[in-house]
Amino acid sequence: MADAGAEAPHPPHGAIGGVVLRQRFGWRWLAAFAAAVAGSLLFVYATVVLVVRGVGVWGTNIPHVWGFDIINYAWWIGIANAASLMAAAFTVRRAPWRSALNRFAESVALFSVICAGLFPILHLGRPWLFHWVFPYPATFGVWPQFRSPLVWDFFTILTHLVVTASFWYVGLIPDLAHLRDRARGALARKVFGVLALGWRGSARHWRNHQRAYHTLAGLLVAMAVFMQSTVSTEFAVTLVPEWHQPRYPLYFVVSGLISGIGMVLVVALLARHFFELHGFITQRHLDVVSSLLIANAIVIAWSYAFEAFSSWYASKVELQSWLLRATGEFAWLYWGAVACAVLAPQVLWWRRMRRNVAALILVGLLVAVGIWLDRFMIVVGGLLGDYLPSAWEGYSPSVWEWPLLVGSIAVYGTLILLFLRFVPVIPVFEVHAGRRDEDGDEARDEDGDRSGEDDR
Amino acid sequence: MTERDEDRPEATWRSLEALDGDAGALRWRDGEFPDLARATATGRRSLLKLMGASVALAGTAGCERLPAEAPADPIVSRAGATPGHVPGEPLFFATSLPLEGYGRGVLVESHEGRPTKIEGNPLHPASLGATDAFAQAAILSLYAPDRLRAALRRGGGRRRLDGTLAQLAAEFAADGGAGLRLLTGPVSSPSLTAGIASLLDRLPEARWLQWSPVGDGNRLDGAALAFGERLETRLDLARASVIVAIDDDPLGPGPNQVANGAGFIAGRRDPARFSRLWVFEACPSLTGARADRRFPVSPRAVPAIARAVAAALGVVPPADDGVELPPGLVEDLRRAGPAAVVTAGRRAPPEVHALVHAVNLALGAVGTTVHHTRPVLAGAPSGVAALAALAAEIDAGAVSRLVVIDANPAYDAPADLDLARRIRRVPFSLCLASRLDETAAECLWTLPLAHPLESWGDLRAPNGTVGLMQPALAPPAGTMTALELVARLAGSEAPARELVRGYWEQAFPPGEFEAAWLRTLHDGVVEGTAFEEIPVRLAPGWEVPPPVPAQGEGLTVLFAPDPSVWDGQFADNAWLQELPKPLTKLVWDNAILIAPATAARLGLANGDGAVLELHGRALEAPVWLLPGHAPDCVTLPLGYGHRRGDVARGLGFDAYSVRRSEAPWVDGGAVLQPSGRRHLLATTQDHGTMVGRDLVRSVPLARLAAMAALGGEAGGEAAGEEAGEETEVAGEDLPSIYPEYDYSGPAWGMAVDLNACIGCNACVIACQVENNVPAVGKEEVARGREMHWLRIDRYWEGDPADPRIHFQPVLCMHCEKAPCEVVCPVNATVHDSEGLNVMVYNRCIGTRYCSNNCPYKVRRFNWFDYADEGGRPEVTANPDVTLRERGVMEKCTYCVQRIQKARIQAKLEDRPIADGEVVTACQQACPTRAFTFGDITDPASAVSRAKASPLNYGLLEELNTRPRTTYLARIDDPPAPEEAS
Amino acid sequence: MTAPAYGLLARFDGPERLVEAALAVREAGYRRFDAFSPFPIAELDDVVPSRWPRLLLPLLTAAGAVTLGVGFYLLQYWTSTVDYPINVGGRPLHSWPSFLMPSITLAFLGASMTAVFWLLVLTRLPRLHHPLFDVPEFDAVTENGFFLCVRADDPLYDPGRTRRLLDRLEPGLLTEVAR
Repeated sequence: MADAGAEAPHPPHGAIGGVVLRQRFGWRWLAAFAAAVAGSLLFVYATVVLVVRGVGVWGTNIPHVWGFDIINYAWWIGIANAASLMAAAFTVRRAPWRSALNRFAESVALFSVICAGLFPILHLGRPWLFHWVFPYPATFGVWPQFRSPLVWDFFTILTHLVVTASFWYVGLIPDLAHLRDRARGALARKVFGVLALGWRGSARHWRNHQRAYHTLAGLLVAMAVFMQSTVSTEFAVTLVPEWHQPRYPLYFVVSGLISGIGMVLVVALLARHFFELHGFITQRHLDVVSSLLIANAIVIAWSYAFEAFSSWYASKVELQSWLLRATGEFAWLYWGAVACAVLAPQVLWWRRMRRNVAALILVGLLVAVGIWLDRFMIVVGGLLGDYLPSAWEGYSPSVWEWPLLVGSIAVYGTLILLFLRFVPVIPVFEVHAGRRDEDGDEARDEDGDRSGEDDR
Repeated sequence: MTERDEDRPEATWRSLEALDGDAGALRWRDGEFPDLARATATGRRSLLKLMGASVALAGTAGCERLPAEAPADPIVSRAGATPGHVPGEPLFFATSLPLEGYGRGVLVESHEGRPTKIEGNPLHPASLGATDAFAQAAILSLYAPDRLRAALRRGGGRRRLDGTLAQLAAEFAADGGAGLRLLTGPVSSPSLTAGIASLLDRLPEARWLQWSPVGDGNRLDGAALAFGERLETRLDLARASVIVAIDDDPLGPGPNQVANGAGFIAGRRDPARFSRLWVFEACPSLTGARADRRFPVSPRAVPAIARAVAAALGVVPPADDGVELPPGLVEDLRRAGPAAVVTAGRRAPPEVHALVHAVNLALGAVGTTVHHTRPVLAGAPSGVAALAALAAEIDAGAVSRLVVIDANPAYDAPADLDLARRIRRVPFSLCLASRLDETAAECLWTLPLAHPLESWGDLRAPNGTVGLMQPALAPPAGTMTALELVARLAGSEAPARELVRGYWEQAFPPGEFEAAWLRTLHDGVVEGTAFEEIPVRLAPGWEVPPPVPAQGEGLTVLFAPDPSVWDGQFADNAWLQELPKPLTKLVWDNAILIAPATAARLGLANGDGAVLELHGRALEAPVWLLPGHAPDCVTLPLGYGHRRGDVARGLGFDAYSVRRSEAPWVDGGAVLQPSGRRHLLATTQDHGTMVGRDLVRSVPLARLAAMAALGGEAGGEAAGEEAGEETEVAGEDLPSIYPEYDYSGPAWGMAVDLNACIGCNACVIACQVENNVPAVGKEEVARGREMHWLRIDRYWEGDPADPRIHFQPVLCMHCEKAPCEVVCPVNATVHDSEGLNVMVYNRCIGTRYCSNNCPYKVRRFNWFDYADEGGRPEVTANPDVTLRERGVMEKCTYCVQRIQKARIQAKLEDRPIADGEVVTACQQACPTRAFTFGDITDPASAVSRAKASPLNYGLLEELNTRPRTTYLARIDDPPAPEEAS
Repeated sequence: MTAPAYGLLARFDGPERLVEAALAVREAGYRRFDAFSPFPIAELDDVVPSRWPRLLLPLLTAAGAVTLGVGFYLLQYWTSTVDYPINVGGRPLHSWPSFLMPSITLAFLGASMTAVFWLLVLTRLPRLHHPLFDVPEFDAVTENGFFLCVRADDPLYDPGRTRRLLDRLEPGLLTEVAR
């Protein structure tokens, strides 16, 4: 079956597998990949320097004992949780159009949590001892201290990694089988064959597969929310005036969510552009995502307002602390966060913007940047106005902190590029199933037809 | 160090490490590092590298002869006196440390021949068991990286000198010491004085002069004016009820600080007789910080103020110079009478001191609060005049031989004397110095001076009491003491010990000597050597009008010794360099201190470079805005800008370079303008105000009286509650949902009396030395990574032109409900059975979360491997305290090692630990006994009684962390409204 | 055909035809047969017989969640109150609100791991080789092929009769699968 893709009754169907199996890499992908790998090597170098010389190479100090390490962590984990939530929610809702975005969301989640997971280990004074957080019968006889949110976080990340990975992989099995059967090279056949675990698409397989998949999705919805709240406790349970806030769990969820959505949007649009997936990712999807962004931005606007109010309402200490953030040395970061995370998405009210790919990508990136600034304002800004003025101190990142941020983005980019190239970016079987549902269903028909035209 | 070689005047001078072929030192010099960690080290490490080198050197030097192996020099000590001493147990040696020639009695704790800690000697009048910051740091200077260990000849490298000295002695004797000038630091040592006297007898042509750049000679000259003879003046602040300091700093650093501090606070513990302190000064000082009435005045106004006071008391006829004394001052003095004391400082001219002496005499204070004795320092000519005379003689070619002993005129002489160049012109010059300092660099010969802790000798306390000096460790071969050199030059070969012993042999009645000698070595002080008080009467025609200080346009310049490095002699001591200066909180630097208003006028901000031009000389230096500084004058701290010394060189600016011999203390007509440069100044406290939070609490004297009255009837605490006053100082106890842990054994707690703290920093550095806290260097401090476990927060309150100044020592609060512990993921910081908040170093993985959750921010983190980088030379380390690894947290432990010692002792003797048996390092060093430590479960313990005071409150107690460390509010004596106006 | 066969494999064009075929085979009384399709076909759930109740997997998942969650809570309780009780920040040894957090997290972990585990058990995967893979056309099962396979171990199975039954359903392909 030399060009099964062409023969197949549903061209786009083959197109997806084709991306993996036939399309040549192309210089754009190679260039991007080279850049990403280079960035990842930078990350490795920064890590080596860190471990050899000590966390002193960072700009951190007393009281700002945390810098980019935890900022990046909070940022990545937010994206991860949000993307998982997005994917899982789509699945649970069984939205017919979801399939196009699902795997992007799942992948973004998986790769983000991998990036996020690196930082809590790197930020330790003695990283090689991180396993002491895990309860095992040590020669010390001492156990972890389970009241510490850091222990909670450790298990959160672990769980998140396992659940997201299994969700991603379970969803992938039938498609791997598809690739196994389409692959021409013997090696590809073998590799995909093993990965597909011998999937035969029997009714029994499908029955259990669908149940497991939706069960995982259900878990993931609840989990993502809980995990993100757990992350927020890392700040909320402390005494630091700006951190000790009951609003934090909700705040972390919503602010994380928008960054995740933005990231999924960006990746999906790039994939659509480079792999001609217009048949799958349609204006309808973009509209949905846009409205999600707008709604989310409004919630964040509210929580910023509420923060200001509660600081004023709570105590003089908190008010002074908040004022230091909003008007002090780092004010531009605070207002930068507002501009990027709250104002930028508002342009999507205009239909023209929603149809403008460049604008959408820009907004997606701006939102991510905005939330990073927001994390900076939490981790660093939160300590600006601590209880004892005598301990007030500045913070500025050192040259060894930037590589960690850039590098982790590069690692993420590497994984995304590999994903785009070696995995069907859209669930083949779901697309196929979608086709079948369309028969006789007017509503979704035009959608299908349009995509059909796009492909010709 | 290559970059440093260019600024060497002579290429033939190489660094000490090069001279001393020590492999370790050479490795350090060449910057070859054992591992990558150091290879990638930043400039920050430069200091630490050097200190590492010093360890290597000390390692070789210290091993030459331990006291134990040196039967030649039996060393008798307190603990060592007991036969069958257990190795591992520390030995304590009683000795004295010099400052400005005066002695400060100390006990040196020594482990296996290595001094590790210095405590005060309770038997010594200038110590009373406490120490100042300088004494605490003395150990480190033993291991100064560039300490001389061999004789050097200019351009010649190392030499053995034994023969040469004998020849010299002969040469000198040959022509009666013609053209020989002996220049020493201030000398109080009886044996040295005698030694020099006999030398001068042998060499009638020779002359001796003493030099200290920050000497207090004006006070004695003032006495000479007033009473007709140079007399020592000593204050007894404990008995004073009204103290008026006119540009004087009795509580500030100096030979008298410990005694004055103790006395001053003793006079303020009892609200019933609470002394009142009036201070007129230009630059805020420790005394000014504790003043009840402080007036920032230009030093130009000082003579007029002194005269006005004298006139108001009828000592001199009033002068119509229109000086207005603040209301209440004169009344206070009159009321207090003999219990009053007026004092002027080293900056004040002799005429002002004469006035002050006369005023005290008129008040009847002499004999109660003021004591006059014969001078403690030797009578040889001293001060700028003597030095100027020497310079003139050199120009006249009258000086053919110059011997400089433990003085550094080439660095710290007034610039116009330019002694560096002049010394070079002297045909033969010999210098006894501990380092290759600026003077040694100019002299033909340089001999290594033994460190006081390695020396035999004797020093007089300010009241004349003699404290013996005995070595706590053997001096490196080749080094010698001043006494030895003088003896050699006089042709004697006797070792230092024999010289000292020989001197005192005559002093004691024959027969009893041996016993008395042993007792003296044991106690550290020679009984009955305190000076008699000398009755004084005004000399006829004593009064001469005080000169009007140099007038002229522009700013007035004050010179002041630096609170950390004094006149520069401690500049090579990293512990002192990193000790935050009490008021500026600067480290590793000095800066031009200036009033905020004046700075604003000149368009200068903190750290801005400025060019100061003073009578044709100029320097470029950063300015530092100091609230409370008098306007239109600037203070130049001395002691920085060294041109030599591996640690000291290049730090700060050299204020001596603009100092003139005709106006050594106060000069006029300075011009200050921005240079456009920015300087990196490292400070440990960025924010100076309390932003309206009640961190340091104080109670007006009036209300306190009421509280005490009630307290008299029914126990302080009860009284506090009844009076409802307690809520004024301490908040009410908040409920907690957490369980109470009951402590079967003792539960340790501390009370810090803010009313007793004079901000002298002794506790800070004592803690550092006791607990092996490393110095980290300027760059790290600038990054906010200082490691001090105990810091003193300094807050300004009120008008920046004349603020109230608060000190608050902050150490770990050992909270009952410690927030830091709850967030540690690995149980690395937990409570122990006695309620200590303990830090388990080897369990810590360095999340630093605990520091985040510590509201007091007292936790410190090992960002790099400070301990291993020589930030704390291992040789000085306290063996009872762990050296912390890179990447772990550390903090105050309440000196748990001392608690442990006491517990073991108590167990051995099968008894409970007695109250006051555990003394923390900060507590022991504190001159004013501001710290109280003990078992808070025992209601009778001192700490429980302190905490029962209605003044007791917890820092941030509203957080309900239940701190074990609490504070006693400061007592205020604010001016009554009508006074204030 | 002497070699014992695995069963008979028939290919149908389109999901509806596959469902009809499956129904027919079932009415004929066969039990051990299975249908294969590129995507899940809801109708087949009721046609192709299953040994397990519908809710088995969700129930097992819930069980996994409870086991790990509760288990971890007990671990925390034991370590901090029985095995190594120590005063941490003056908090109660048994700080249940704190202990709940990781317990819930671990419950999620337990749930997901059991779900995946039982998915593999119930689908008898991984099984990299299977007789059906020897049929070249079976490749299409992940693309557009809809197959029905009656297994030889079904009591009613008879090479002739079963083949006739399937033939009547007009399959696109009908072949015997070797074991």
